[in-house]
Amino acid sequence: MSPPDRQDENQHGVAPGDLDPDAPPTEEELIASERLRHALEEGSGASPEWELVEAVRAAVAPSPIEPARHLELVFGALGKPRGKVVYFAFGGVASLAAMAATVALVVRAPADAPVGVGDGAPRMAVSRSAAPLFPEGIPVMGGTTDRVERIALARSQDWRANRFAQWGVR
Amino acid sequence: MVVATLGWGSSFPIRPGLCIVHRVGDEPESPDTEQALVLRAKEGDRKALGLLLTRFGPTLYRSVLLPRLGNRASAEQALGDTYARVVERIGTFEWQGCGIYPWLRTVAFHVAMDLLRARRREVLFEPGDLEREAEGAEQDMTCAGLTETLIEQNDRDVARAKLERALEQIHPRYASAIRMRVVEERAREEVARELGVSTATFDVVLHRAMTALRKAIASSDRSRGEA
Repeated sequence: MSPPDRQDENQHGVAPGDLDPDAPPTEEELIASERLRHALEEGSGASPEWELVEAVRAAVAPSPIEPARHLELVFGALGKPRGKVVYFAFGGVASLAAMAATVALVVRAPADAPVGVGDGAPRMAVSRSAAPLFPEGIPVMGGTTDRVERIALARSQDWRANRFAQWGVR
Repeated sequence: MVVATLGWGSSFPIRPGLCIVHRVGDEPESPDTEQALVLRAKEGDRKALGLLLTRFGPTLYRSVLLPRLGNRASAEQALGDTYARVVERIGTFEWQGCGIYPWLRTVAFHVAMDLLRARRREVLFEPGDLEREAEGAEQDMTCAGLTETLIEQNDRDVARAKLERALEQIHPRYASAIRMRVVEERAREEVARELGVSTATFDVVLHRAMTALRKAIASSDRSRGEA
């Protein structure tokens, strides 16, 4: 507890309200009461009375910690680096990883270039419609299992063909 | 994207861009599981330690730190400091059969005591109060039949009792003003009507009530210190 605010007290250390709660207020008391009223209405303030209001409420009905804030505290404590050596080591590794990622981005082929297209590259099967697998047409009802098996068979052949192409067997 | 896996019924909201939290519903809340986590945490498993902090931290905040430090910012700072000490010292913790909560609580009392000594805010508790509570908490670690729930309830009762003792020392009219306006958060006009005064007069009465309460707390602390 900090030393009590004595501005409302007379030379004997007795404030007007100490003996009679309804005694006429001093100018200082009026200012302080107005400040407290504002703080209570706004739910925040900077006066010692407001600090005590918060303390009283925290003692009687403490509110739970906000989950997101709690997570921050947990991760903050667990992730805290121990000492400068670890800090610099971690920083160095992170920097190297960032540089390696940058180099990889620069030297990588454009993402939209089709696989297998280009000089000397093996020709590979690409994604396409399954409609040519059903020249007789697809009935509205029935035959689902057969169609799935036919697609699976065709695509597994594509897959094997691609593997052979990659290995240079073809 | 950060993926956080938390256990024991922690209910954290999913906030886009922050993290995704999966509940671990299969982990039973039993001393065996807690003991296993403690063992892993002592061996340096950060995830296990994170689960323990996630499980017990909110209780520490609500029943130990916030009532004693008096405001959210200080209590959050204290919880963060408590976690930092726990991370440093988990290796020294010895399982005694009554869980890790009593030990965490003792650490929290010491952290709160340090914070109270370092600052000058209006609060209900003195560092001396917390020193006594910390000593009691160290005895509670001997598992004298106290469950976490009982300890939590006791910690909150201590804070309420501290306030009640101070309110008993001031003018009953002041105590009523504080109870109705500050504790029960009733409207200013309603409390003024109840006390039979104008709202302007009530503002003065409440200000005087808070000043009287502050003096009552300070004088009880002084008399205890002299005793």
